[in-house]
Amino acid sequence: MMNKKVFLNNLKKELKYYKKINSEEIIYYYDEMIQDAIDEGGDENQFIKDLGSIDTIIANIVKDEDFVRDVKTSNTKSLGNIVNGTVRVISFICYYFALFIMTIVFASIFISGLGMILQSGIYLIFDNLTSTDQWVLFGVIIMGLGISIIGFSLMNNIFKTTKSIRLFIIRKTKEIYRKKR
Amino acid sequence: MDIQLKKGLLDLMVLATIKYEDSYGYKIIQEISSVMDISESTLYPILKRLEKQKLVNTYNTTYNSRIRKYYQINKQGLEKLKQSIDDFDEINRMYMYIKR
Repeated sequence: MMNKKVFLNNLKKELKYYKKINSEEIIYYYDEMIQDAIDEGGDENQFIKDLGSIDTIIANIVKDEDFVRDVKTSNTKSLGNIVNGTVRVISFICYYFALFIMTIVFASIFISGLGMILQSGIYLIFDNLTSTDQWVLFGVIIMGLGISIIGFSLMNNIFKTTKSIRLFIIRKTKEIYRKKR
Repeated sequence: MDIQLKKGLLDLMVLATIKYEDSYGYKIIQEISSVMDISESTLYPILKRLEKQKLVNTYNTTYNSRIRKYYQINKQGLEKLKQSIDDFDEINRMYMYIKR
């Protein structure tokens, strides 16, 4: 059972993955539709159930947006556009390749930090060590912690920068998944 | 039915629904459902398309202290409807020929 608020919230969450869709307008549309149904004496939960799954709703919209876009793009193909497109694609690939490499580097910094902590921890727990050695290992753990924090925050930054590409990938996977069904 | 044909027909169904009186989403569905099955998620892209093609005008009014979006057919919309009816007359003549 889903009431209006939950339904609209879920719809909004899903629409976030689709930048090209005017999600606000769709939320308004369904808000008005549900409210009208309620005012006419309809059952809120039943009406929302009859609206179908959010997946289907979005699939219907995407199908149509694609349709509109296809018609538009087929009319505006000129040499300038194609050249511009190729240059843009190449620079995008370079950009994301650089980001990819940076992510790997930052991830390895993060993992080496974790590795330092883990190994020193194991030595500390399982080996009989002099107190000097214990202090040294303790220092190594602190260092590992610092390194992993640096690696993690760098990675986090990269993730923020690549939000749009991640949304794109999620969206595409969802579309493929939908088509399979 | 052919998807492109169905799309065009649905557009016309909506235009015909608001031909005499401005209407809003819920009511349009109610009226069309008496003739054929149409879901809310099907209507949205149609309304959007009609708006984009400038065949309808829209305006908001307050109802029960909330906003309701109304759709109004405009001159181009009426023109399109009339054109399509003429087309259908022609199709009908062809159909009668095929069927005889």
